[in-house]
Amino acid sequence: MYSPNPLTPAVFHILLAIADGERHGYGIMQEVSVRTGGKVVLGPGTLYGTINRMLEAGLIEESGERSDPELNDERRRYYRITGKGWRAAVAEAERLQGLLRLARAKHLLQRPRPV
Amino acid sequence: MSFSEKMYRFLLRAYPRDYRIRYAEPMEQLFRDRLHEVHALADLVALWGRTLADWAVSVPARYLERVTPHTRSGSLADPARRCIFFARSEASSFSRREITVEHLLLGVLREEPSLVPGMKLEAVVRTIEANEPVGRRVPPMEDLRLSEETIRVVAAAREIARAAGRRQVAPVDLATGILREADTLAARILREHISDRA
Repeated sequence: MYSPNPLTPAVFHILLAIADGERHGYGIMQEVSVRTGGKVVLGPGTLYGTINRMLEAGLIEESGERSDPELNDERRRYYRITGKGWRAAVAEAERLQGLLRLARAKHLLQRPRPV
Repeated sequence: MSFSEKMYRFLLRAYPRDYRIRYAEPMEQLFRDRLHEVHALADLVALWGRTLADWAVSVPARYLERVTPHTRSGSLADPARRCIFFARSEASSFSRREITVEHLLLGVLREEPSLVPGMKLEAVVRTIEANEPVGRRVPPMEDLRLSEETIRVVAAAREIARAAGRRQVAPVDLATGILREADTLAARILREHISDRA
């Protein structure tokens, strides 16, 4: 059976991190960490493993290599979202919105949990 | 180079060679950036705890991807799944309770816009919109099922892929499967476009 949910949390977080502009690996990690209040911290292995798969799937692309003036002189690889990545992020956001609407309809967000 | 950096460089040797060639440098760089955030011994211990946990999970995952490249550890679905993911989004926006072959065609075109040369996604959307019983409105809350025709298309696409010796269903297989559901609007759109181009 085909699942209508092809995006893992790591993929969706990375797409959100670069939705408003290109970032390098450390920039993506910082953005995800700040946006989730430190609850999600992508380590180097997870981050670049996910980036590798997203490049293969055409969800993101490399947009060049240069240094970040806010950090140091080291050259960094930048990544940006593609049209397909944008559509996947929108579709996933809509899917989550539908689930949230369902949770609201079931009063999950107001009702105290039964003991 | 600090002891931590040397240790991390050593750990990177555990990754597959081709992956290391491509990503060892940015991974080292990222670790170094995080090391600069460390101000106390407790921070360093926490960083190493997270780094070792990340390493222990990601090294086997990279090897697993090489053995089973089609599953990619389940992290990203194959192109056919993404087509259905986009189709589901289309069906939802039309407020439909099921994913029809027309929604699947839109999903295929969203996943691989260049699949059918000259076919404009916007034009297909307009044609399908004009034939939908209701316009776009608030999506239904329940999860959506594949229609009977769409189930047949997916089954046909699997056969087509198998006959071609491919383990993975590609968007082109789904498009061919759509053509087999000759009575649907999606098949008509594809047929007319192909005959116009011929």
